[in-house]
Amino acid sequence: MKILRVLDSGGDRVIAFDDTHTAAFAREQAKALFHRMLAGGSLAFKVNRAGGEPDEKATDFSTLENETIVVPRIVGG
Amino acid sequence: MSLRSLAQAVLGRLPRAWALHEALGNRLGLEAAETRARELLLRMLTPTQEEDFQRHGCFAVRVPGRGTFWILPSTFFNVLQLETGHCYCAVPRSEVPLSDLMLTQKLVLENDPNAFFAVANRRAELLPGLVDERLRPQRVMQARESETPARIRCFQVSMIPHDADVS
Repeated sequence: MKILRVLDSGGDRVIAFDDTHTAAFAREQAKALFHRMLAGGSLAFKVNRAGGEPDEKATDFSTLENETIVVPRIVGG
Repeated sequence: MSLRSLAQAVLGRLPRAWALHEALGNRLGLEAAETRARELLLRMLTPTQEEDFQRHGCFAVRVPGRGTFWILPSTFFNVLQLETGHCYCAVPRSEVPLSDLMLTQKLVLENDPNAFFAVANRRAELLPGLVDERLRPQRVMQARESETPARIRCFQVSMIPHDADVS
């Protein structure tokens, strides 16, 4: 099971999905959300990667791994 | 007390009671969000960062080619460049708990620093030569905590009479 974690005012929202046929609907919803967030300026990062690999910026939904954090668009304060 | 006056008294206090109820609910919601965000942040920090965060409330990130930056527990100008004493401000556009703000800055600085510096504002917070490098994050936080709230002094009030006062 893969996790998409979207940071928001409530802490974070978790969307779980996987690559099985039965979870196709959840996957499509996660994919749509992922693309919508990135189109709005959000950034996504792969975290907790297998083998202790360092975190990495993600731009392609098909390459997402166990856990991805989507952070809101950042602006100069 | 008649039933009518009792009903009026109760109804008169309802808006205030409702406002209190909402304020309490908001506060509890904010606290729950911050607790959740803090748990996530702690899970994402390296052991060194976690130790610093638990002890001082802030932690350091290494940005390739740019040096060491401390992320301080504040919502504005909270990214301190250790070498220069400059503080940077780039924050999530939507409202998030403080720990999520710090996590956002950590992830962006470590993995996509250009996105951070492209939008960040910068200001000089301290003179590097005057403060030991290890003490700089604490010094910035102490300075901010000791800032007194702005007050209006007598000499700042205009003494020119208003037109209506001049006969």
